[in-house]
Amino acid sequence: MSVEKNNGKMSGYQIMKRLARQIKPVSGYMGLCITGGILGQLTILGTLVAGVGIICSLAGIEMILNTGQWMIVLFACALLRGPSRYLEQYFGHHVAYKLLAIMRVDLYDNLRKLSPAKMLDKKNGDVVSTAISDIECIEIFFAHTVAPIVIAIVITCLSLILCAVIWPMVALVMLPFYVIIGIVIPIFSARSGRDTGRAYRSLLGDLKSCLIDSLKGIKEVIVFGKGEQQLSTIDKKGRAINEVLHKLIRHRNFVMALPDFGRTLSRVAVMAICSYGMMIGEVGIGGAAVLMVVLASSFTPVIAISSLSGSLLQTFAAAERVFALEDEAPQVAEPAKPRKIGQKSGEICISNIDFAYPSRPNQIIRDFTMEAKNGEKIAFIGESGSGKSTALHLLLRYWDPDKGEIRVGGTNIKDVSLKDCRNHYAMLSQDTWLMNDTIEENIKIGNPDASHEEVVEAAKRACIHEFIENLPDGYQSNAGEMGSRLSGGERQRIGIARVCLRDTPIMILDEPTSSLDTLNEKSILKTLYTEFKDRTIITVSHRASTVAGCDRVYRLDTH
Amino acid sequence: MLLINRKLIELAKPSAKWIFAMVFVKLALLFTVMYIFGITGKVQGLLYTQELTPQLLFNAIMVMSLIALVRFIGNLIDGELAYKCSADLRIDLRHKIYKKMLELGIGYSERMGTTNAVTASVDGIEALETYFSKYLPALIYCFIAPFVLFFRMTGSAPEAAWVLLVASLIVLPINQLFRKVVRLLKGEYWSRFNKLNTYYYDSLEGLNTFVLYDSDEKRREDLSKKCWDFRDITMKVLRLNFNSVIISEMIIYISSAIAIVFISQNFVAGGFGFGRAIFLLLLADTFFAPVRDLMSTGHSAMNGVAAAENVFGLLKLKSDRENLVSTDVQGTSEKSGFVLDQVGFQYGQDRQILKNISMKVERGKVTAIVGQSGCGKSTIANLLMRFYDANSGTVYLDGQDIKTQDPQQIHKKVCIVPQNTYIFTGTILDNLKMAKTDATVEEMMKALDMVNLSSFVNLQPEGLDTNIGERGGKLSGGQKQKLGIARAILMDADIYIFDEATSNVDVESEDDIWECIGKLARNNTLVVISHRLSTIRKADCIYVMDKGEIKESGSHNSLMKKRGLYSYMVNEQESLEGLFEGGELCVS
Ligand SMILES: Nc1ncnc2c1ncn2[C@@H]1O[C@H](COP(=O)(O)OP(=O)(O)O)[C@@H](O)[C@H]1O
Ligand SMILES: Nc1ncnc2c1ncn2[C@@H]1O[C@H](COP(=O)(O)OP(=O)(O)O)[C@@H](O)[C@H]1O
Ligand SMILES: [Mg+2]
Ligand SMILES: [Mg+2]
Repeated sequence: MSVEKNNGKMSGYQIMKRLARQIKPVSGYMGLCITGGILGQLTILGTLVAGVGIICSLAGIEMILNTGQWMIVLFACALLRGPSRYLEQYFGHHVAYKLLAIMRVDLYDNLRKLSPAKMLDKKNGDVVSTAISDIECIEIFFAHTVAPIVIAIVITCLSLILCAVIWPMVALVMLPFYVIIGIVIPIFSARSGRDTGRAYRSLLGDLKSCLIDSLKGIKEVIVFGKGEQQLSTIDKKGRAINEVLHKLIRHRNFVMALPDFGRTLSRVAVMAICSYGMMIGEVGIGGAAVLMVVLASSFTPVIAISSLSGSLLQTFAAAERVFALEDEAPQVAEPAKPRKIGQKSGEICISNIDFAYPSRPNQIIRDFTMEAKNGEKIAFIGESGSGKSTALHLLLRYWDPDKGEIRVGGTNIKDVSLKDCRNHYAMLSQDTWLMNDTIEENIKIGNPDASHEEVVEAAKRACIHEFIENLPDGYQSNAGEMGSRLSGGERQRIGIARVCLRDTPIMILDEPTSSLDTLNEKSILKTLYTEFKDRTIITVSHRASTVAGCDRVYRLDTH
Repeated sequence: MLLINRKLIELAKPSAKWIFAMVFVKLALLFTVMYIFGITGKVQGLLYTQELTPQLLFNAIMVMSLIALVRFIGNLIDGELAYKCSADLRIDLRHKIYKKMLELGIGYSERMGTTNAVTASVDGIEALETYFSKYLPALIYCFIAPFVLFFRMTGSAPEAAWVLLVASLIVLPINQLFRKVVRLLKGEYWSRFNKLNTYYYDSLEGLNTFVLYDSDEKRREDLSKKCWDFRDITMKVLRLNFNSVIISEMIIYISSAIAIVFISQNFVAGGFGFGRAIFLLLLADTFFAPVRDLMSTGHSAMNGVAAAENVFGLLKLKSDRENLVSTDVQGTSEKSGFVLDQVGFQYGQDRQILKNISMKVERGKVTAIVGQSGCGKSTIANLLMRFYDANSGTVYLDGQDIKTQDPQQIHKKVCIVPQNTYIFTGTILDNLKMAKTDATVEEMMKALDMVNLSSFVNLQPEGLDTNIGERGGKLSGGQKQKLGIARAILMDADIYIFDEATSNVDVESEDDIWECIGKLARNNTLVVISHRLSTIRKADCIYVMDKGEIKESGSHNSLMKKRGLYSYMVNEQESLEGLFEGGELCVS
């Protein structure tokens, strides 16, 4: 893939090629769509040819068929038009929306691999804009570009053949028009505005993340009285979008006006060449009439491509954004030949590791060594920002240490598959993320297969059962957006309940009691240290009370 | 289907001049088309009668080329007008949406989900562009163009002209049979689009959590279902749309065919010559171009119409905090801090969170609130900030019912550092400027120094401009809280509320921070909510809460003497901390 990349910018051709590859599995439907499209165009031309045929044959000009036969052709075309168009439209969109759904899920699959390290550099609002709105833009390619290109080629060939049959000179004169309108203008227009398209899509993503930020942080905005300021930021972004949109619309209309200009000129050309042909006796009046009436209409599919190339600017930019996310490599690599974690699986051995974040100059962890045997309770303490959470993240292989190695159960974690590695721990992160769903579902994130009884058991251990029971809907109560309907301590205890649902040899608790009062803290710690006696537990805490029961305490220093 | 929405049309009023200008340009372009057809027909007629001279042909070519140029220019003008149609309107709508959210306050998400509002104001509102600049002009044009063409034809081929006119007048109303599409769009289509957006966003937000607990596979399956659901509803809408297209196309092409038959009959009857016949044929073919145009823009205008209802619904929401008229005139200058008088509160209908709370926050003093997690401490803070209004009882600020005071005025005096303080995406500077737009670097560094964060900032090569990721993701938990406090300090309010503001901060920094805040307290008023009881020991008055009620209050010493809930909690904490000798300390 990376061969095709060039700072994330790709040529229109590369983008189309890559998108076209996706169509393969549904090429049958695409075939139906194209068939319908060609038929539809033929009926349009057929109607006109038949009209000319009828008039000419009535005027006593020899026209192959007689008036009655032309009538039959006329009505056959009229009747066929609707269904063939339906065929084209239906299957075109059928294919398109199928592929869009697949692309969205595929994108999520890659994002899963990027999480969490690489996702920290992205804005979720921007990413969701790519996943939904940008991918929606690609519909233009699947439903309105692929088939029209084929249709245009076929119809153009047929029209040229028709010309050639009547008088080869006409075909020769017309060919440049087809080439210019169908190939030169689209390529020119798709190239000329690429940056505008890119700017528009990325401004939209940016606006989305800005709005999300302004809404999620609305409490702070209100408290600091910055509502007006935020509004003017939003307006400013809107104006920036409008500026780009203005350019896009100009481009759109320019690339629609050009082929229209070309088509009108082609009418002139046909008129001239046919008249000339008749004057020198090469063309009959019937042939001239057919060409002068029909040829302009045969440009319809070619013009469709030209005028599409305006919308394609957005599609290309959107596809580029999707591909950039799809092609991004995860921070840490999966081992080529994954091994299993060894016997004494609760054993952790960190030896002499160094670590600095790629984006920051200072080393966060320097020459850190730590050891934990099966079932030991370890605590990390230290100033905020000294690297406690970072050390835990290294254990989970969010990042790889710059130096030194980490062994779990005797196996270097770099040799273990990421999934196995992460399934080896039950981790409570510093902030508990809750989804806008029931409390039960939120606890079940810890183990999607858990039964209700297990959930209740976990909630009891986390001292949150009683609270949940007292809610009007019990476990089915909704937690609100980002858990907004719960107090800080309740959210934290739900996080602890999640961890309790997991049956793993190692437990990692990052400031598990920061929002809890002493009484809850005490009973939770008691449960953890007695019921999970045989598990290795690493706790980070600032509270003397929380680290009190540990076997060993490591202090991390800020460097 | 016809996408007609009365409210949207109402909204278009300011742009009416641009829209009608577009219609005018379209009509002008129609005349050029008719002119071209006229010339083509004439030349045909001359060819038929073999009267075409090179001079005449040359003239025809020149005129037609000129018309081509005119059309080109007309198309460009069309684009300029198209932009004008919706430019201001979209900015304005977006402005109104966020303003409404500000009015609804922190509880907005209960009324309208965040992503919901964002989708409406980005995808929905941008899609209105097509609706206003393409769809509406095309729609109006559709009602005028047939008459123009009719009058052009009716002289020579009256039957054909009537057939075409009637057909084109029928086509639009028949499309109204598919009104259901619009209903579907506004309802199910938009709601699934929204759900997909929300679900995808949540799946990103919680991605780390899902991956950690190995439930990302399940999430993926659910997400995939939402993607396919959206695809299904889209196809359903489109299918209905295609049905309407197929019927329209049938009507269009069959009536065209009939018209052609009529034209040829008139031709046989000797009403006009060969050239005229060809001209009429071309006109018949182009008669329905406006309708076809309209139908082809339908798909891209869909989203705008679908979102519109949502946007209007959103703008109609009303805040449930109403400002009362101030009745108490004399007490205005009094500076007595907060007084809560028998306050009761509940968030929803079902659960009483605060019962009968009476308390005082005196100016120039430190008031502390302690109690078990979930007992309602943050809720009291919310009432003090007037994020919500009490259901019963009264909250007074400086002697006046808080309901008579504008929240904006309250926030000038009172500042809160909430639990989970929100860090904005961007740099440290952006976040500090949020509190004080014109803060100088010295001021900012001083505030950072007070919370022990200045050494970290100095260490970063970019200093205050260090990017801290989305929502402070590149800071440690404690650093985020410190930044939140520094921000509040910059704000310079009279009364500060700290709601578990230092829960993730290490003990040493915490002590430093409280010392600084203690200095602050000399001229300011503080409300402190904390679980670390040693930090609030020095408070002037401590309120001890349990299950939404105040159990006891007083200074540390007097509460300790009482041997109630407070002294129990203090003793428990001390005995837990006393266990500390257990572990061996390793220093790295
Ligand atoms: N993703 C990141 N990128 C860059 N720096 C980071 C990132 N995450 C944390 N840091 C920085 O690393 C240091 C250690 O953070 P952390 O391990 O979270 O501290 P704590 O000991 O409080 O848990 C902090 O100075 C923080 O700013
Ligand atoms: N927005 C809300 N909607 C419904 N219930 C809420 C909301 N916010 C908090 N609660 C409930 O109110 C109770 C008190 O919450 P809170 O005041 O945050 O507690 P704490 O004393 O820990 O700060 C909790 O039980 C919580 O579940
Ligand atoms: Mg941390
Ligand atoms: Mg709270």
